[in-house]
Amino acid sequence: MSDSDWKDVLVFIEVSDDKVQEVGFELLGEARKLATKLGQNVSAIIIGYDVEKFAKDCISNGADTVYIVDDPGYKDYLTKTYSKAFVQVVEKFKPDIVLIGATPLGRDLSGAVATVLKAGLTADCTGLDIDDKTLKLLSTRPTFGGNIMATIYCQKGKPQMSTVRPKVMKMPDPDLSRSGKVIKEHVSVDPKDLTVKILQFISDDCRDQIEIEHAKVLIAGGRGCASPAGMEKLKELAKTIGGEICGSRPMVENGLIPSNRQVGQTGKTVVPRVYFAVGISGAIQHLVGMQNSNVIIAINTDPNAPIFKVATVSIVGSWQNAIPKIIEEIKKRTGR
Amino acid sequence: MSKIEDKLYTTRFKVDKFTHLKIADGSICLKCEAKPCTIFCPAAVYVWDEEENHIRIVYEGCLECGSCRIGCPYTNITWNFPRGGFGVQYKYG
Amino acid sequence: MEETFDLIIVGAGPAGISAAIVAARAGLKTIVFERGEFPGSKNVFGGVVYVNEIAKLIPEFWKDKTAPIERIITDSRIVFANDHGALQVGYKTDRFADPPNVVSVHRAKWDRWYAKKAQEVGALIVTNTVVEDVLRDQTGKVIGVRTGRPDGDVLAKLTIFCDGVQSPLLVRAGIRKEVLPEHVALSVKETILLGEEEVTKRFGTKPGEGVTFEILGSLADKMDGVSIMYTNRETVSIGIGANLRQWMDSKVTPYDMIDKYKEHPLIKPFVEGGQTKEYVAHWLPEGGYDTMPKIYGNGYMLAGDTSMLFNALHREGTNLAQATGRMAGETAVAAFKYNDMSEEFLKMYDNLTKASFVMKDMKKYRGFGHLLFDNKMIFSTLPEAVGDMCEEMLAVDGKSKKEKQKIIVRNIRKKVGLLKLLGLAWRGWRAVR
Repeated sequence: MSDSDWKDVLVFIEVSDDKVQEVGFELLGEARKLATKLGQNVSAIIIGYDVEKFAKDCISNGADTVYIVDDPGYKDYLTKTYSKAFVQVVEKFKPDIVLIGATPLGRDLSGAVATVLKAGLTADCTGLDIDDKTLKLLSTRPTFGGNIMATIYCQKGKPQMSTVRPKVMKMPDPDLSRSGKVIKEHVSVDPKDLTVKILQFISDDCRDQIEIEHAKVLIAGGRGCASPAGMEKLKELAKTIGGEICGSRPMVENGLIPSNRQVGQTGKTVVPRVYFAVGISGAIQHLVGMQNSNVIIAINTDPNAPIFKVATVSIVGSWQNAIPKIIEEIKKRTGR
Repeated sequence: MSKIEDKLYTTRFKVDKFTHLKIADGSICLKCEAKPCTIFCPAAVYVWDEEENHIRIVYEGCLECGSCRIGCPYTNITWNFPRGGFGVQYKYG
Repeated sequence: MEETFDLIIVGAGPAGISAAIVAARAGLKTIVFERGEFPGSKNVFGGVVYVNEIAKLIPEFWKDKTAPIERIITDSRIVFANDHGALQVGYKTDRFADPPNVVSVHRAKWDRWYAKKAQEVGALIVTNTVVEDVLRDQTGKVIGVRTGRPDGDVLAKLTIFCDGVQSPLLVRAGIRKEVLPEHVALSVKETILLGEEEVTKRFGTKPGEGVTFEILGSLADKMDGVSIMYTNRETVSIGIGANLRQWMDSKVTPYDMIDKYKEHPLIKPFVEGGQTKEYVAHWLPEGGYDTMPKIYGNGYMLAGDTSMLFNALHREGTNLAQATGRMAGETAVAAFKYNDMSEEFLKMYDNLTKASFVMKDMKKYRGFGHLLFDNKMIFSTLPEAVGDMCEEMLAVDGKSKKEKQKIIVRNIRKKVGLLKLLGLAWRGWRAVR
């Protein structure tokens, strides 16, 4: 069996809380670009219970074929059951490339699937492309704090697998007139694999677990306020306005925020309604993570700081001066 | 193998979201001329950022040898082991 | 955690596991804390392990097919090298083949296997856990440890610290002084994959057998340093290091240094074309006997690298760790038998080490570290002079042998100085006497 038997770009569509996770559609858009370069098609795979209804949206967002594995046994995600189903579909339909969103579920599933298939897996990619000569998938990802971008390809083995972080790829424009095939693939669930029974979902109110991608207002600290005193003020502003704390790399290096609150090339890409950039110079590594925010309010003592190029509101001054005034003003206007 | 990043790529890390290394006082680094941490660290964790006038810490590639803790002439590095289960995890050793 | 154990061991390396095996076999309720994902995941060495010491706890372990032995070392070479040449002395013998005397291993595999032996006799090994503090009672006696886990205080009647060459824990607890840079060597190492047949071929060994090279000279950018090359089953370990005090003044980085090392005419043919599978860095405790902390106290003992145990001349670090771990375990068993965990009783551990090769060797070589550190010529001019001498002796260039002799003596006088050389020889003899 040769490599050329493996065709098409397969995207895993994650369904949680009876909703498709948007990263699935983002990856369909990206898959279309890759497939076009390869002269191949785009397919999608949905595993779950009562999930056939999502096939239409997948097709609208670019899938030519949608594989459905639908069974009550897949109602809750379990590594064993989902990876078995996934592997069976991959072995049967032989996609050249498999893309999975780097959500907690996606990360768990992709590792399990890659191990069974002995496929190369590049995790947390920020860029995908096809090599002109070899037609291999090129996955780009940052390494070691963002000093170096590594481009990785699988020397051998199929499929070539990559996981991509949410909001890195653009959402495609859905085309409701598109048509495609829906293939129901039956993969029965072995009752022995149902080793875990989900009794209850408890909503996570722990502040530290907040995913900053979902926040509507973000208060970001940079080198200029990466101190305990700075953090205090940022927290006060966040509390007053109802926002979440995040930051650029220096905030992580100073131990003030964990790396999952870092915005930028090595961190997350965010598109909140309001983004406060406090003491952030606006180096490109940070900008790529937040420049599409709706309103950017930048506070920096350096009038030449690159952040002011993308800011909606530019405040040239110190955060020690500016933030208390902003907090005061918000309190006055909202009566908080 | 000509770059440290290529070498570190062969080593397995379970990267924590918290850094286990911190510069205690950034202003001290400004008066340190030699900045030996940027030379003797076997993992090139410490990098001098010309623009920000600060040491950058790439803690993700730390090999936990401890040289920076006692090698910094100003003892300016707050050093801890990474949290249990995090950091470098050797395949050969 | 409400549970009280008999014995807490910090660190699941050779020292910790040796102690755990002895203690658990004797029925002590033993718990071992390991900060890595698995025993060995945070450990680095050259390296080789010595059969005699391991066999004390696991007789004839080399016959166990599951024991991850890489190669049986039957050929040991000592090298004195400069940038362009190497003088080698070696001894090869079949007598070290069966039973083996020394074998090469990979720590990540070896420690894991070794730790299982402790688990098989009932020791509880808890990984992914950093010990953050030492717990004491009002009298100052060590009664347990605080770990990084929630509700992570664990109590025990006795604690053995085996947490490695740099123990910020023991420094914080006042049990050890912070290491000085001149007391340790910072080394980097690469494990290079060649394939089993290729290793056998390149090094000229029998299948399953191996070679070790210990190299002294000017290769560590003329710093007080040692480099190594050891054969494993499919891979070759090459490493180079130097005294940390000198690294602080170095213009060369460790990773550039190991790259240059790989280009050395002695090393290159052995590793060329191989694929680096792992790059690691670690300290070697080189300070010697005089930098050792007190290895026992009220309710605790220290074993392994954390006591700065290392015989640089004979490359025995792991060996001393295993021996002291075993002795600490034996002391713990005795302490429980007599129900006496006081400092006075634990002195038995100190006595055991002093009566054995452990302290005898440490004392004998206590001056070795200083000898190297204080005599920079060993790493700068002497390797050049020795190289010149060898080349003069070996070159057939038409000069008469008498003429060559004159040139050699003149060179040594110029480059090193006859008196200095004699002085070095005298100091060298004194240091290892």
